[in-house]
Amino acid sequence: MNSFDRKVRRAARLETGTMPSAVRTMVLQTLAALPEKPAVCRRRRASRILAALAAVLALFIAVPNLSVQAAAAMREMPVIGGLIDVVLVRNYLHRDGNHYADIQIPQIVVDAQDTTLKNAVQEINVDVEAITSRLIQEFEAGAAAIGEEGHTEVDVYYQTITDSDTWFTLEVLIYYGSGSGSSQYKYYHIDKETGRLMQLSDLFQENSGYVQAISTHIQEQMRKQTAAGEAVYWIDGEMPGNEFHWIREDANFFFADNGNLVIRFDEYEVAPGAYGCPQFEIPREVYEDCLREDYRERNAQKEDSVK
Amino acid sequence: MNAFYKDKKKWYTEQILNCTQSLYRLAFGLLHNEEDASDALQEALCTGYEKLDTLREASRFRPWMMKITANAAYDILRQRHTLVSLDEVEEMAQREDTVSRTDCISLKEAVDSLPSEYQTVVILFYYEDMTARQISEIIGVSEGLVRTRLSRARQMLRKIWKEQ
Repeated sequence: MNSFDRKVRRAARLETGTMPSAVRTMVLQTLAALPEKPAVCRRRRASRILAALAAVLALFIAVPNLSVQAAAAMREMPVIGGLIDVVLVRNYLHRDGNHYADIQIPQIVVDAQDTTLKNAVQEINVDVEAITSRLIQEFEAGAAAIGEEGHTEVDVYYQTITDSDTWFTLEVLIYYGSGSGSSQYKYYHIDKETGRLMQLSDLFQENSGYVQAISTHIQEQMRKQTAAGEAVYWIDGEMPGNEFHWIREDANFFFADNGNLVIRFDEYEVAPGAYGCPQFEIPREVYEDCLREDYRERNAQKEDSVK
Repeated sequence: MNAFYKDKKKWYTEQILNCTQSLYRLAFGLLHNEEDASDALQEALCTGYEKLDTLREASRFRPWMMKITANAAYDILRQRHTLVSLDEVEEMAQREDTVSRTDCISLKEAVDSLPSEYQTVVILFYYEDMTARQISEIIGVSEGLVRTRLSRARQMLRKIWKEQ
């Protein structure tokens, strides 16, 4: 690759562009409508859906606040079972020619008698409410300031990643678009045995070296994928000054179905925007020695249940 | 079986959300029309899910999905029978006029001004960091032809694009 090619690739990385919001909506709707197992899917011409959406979402629609009980009663399917439930209490929608917002505001619900989980759940609900309120205010202020001179977009979606006897994880995806777009994930974890809100560092013993162990493994995965031509990451001189060396102590994470830790990065954090929000599954043996004793035991239990 | 495959819909959704922008850019690069690109993308999303069991390696998801998207776009191109509407002719003329009169244009504008067969290889090579071999697999032409198109596209870009 010559210097001109490198120059063009560098410019291309900075010039990421934004997918039209109507296409984004179509993608999310198509994915949501897929059957649970791969089978022949029902097709609808996307362009017709876009036209219908444009009519439905014309100008401004704000779904009024619902009570948690009403929202729970209205939803078609239970999102999760067990002691914790997640319901959509408000969906802020705005669409005009230049500005688009689809902000889902969920709340976590637990049994009123459940004193173990109550505080953590309340803390998450307050945080989600604060973040989404701020996004709505910023979106409205930005849209008013920009008017017809540009485009803005904000989307917030959520899903439950884990709801086991001992662990709960809620994922919130935030997408911002204005000129170019970027996605960001936020994870809320509750240790259901203790009722504690958890961060990555809470899983590990102090000075156990987990940051180094996990970071080194991620770099190995990055190099393998780069060598195979599957992806590009900002390591080994690829992006001087902005290279990936270590994960943050409170890095985004969740657990895969097999119990392995998965580390997720934000868009542009370790790779060009074309690679979205990269995630890396970390085999348990990489970090097992660093885990706190009680979580090591739980990991072993998880392994038994997987087998 | 890979653990991510256990919940196929969830796994597929995550993979797609990580590469939607690339898929759309490819479809738009081939079709130059938002509605057609959106149709191609939706067709690709359904086809990819239906054929998910044929994906041998999870790590090959992105190029595999790019190929499916390119095929969906080619189907739409075939349906068009290469007919170009008067509106599109006018739009292309305006585009070329803009480029010829401007000294400093963005990379995107420069790429948009290239003939469509060159745009596709440029998008995949420069924006998606793919090799000539990977591009040949996705758009279904020989690696040699990809290199030829890249070389000509590079010459054209050198003339019309200057880094800002």
